[in-house]
Amino acid sequence: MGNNTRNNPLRSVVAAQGHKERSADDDLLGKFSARRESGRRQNVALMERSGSAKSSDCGEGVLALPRTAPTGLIGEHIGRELRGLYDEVVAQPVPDRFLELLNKLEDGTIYGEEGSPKPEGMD
Amino acid sequence: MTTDGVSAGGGGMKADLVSAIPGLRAFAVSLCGNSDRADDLVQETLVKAWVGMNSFTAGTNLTAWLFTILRNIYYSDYRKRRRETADPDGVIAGRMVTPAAQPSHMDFLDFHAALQKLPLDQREALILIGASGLSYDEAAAVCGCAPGTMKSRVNRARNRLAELLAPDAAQGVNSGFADAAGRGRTRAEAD
Repeated sequence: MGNNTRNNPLRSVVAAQGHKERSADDDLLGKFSARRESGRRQNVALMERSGSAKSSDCGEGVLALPRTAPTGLIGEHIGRELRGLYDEVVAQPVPDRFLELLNKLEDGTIYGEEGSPKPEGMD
Repeated sequence: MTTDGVSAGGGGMKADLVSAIPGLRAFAVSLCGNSDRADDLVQETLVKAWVGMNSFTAGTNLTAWLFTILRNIYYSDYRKRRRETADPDGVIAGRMVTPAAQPSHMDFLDFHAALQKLPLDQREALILIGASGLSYDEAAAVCGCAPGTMKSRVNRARNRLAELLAPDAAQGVNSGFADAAGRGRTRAEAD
């Protein structure tokens, strides 16, 4: 599970939804999944309401796309997905490679001297 | 995130960089849509920040400063890739980033794929304002534009995402939320 998250944090949200039982052993993801779950229930309720509205008369009410900024369902959906994507990565532990890198930088093992070669891809 | 007490060359710099890493990774992943590449970007950013720490103004927002560095690395890499593939419009580059972006159902687009379909300036604006917690002024400084420009990019990004996620308002919104609500359950209800 941790592996899955590390290798592809983008997909782990979907993985957590598809395999809830697997997230039980991962506290962070479990919490994350639980938090999304409550938002999801709300979505379903809203969806059911708008669904019935659509079948009767007003498809352009809640469901229409505003021209200025999306509000309502789709706007909330975007905000929630965006923060979920971001917060999920923020919640992950800092990979060892970065701690090792900073230790080396601090020791002067790499890029410690004036005029030392700059890493590739840097201006 | 700690932004105070940063002194160039001091031991505090390392601790401050460590505490900024989660946000940097999240920004990088949202920007490029690929976690491996994102971590390479973060690594380059940390090295560049360490080497150039003298140019950081103590007391200003360290995260915003690091985001600016990461963004510059990403943009120069992005331009390089586009030149190399002779792909001036970024069409191929876009496909390379999101190989599975084509939805099997035209009424639904995965959020991550949709985010990667946004023009780069709109995507970064949306991430910085909608998720990173930076203010409009800080985000504008990161992107080198006016706060008003940042606002209009965010609005355009949200509108474009809404169109991508729900191309047909009625059908699309329901399908989009059907995914957020768990595909299996909603399919069952629909039947």
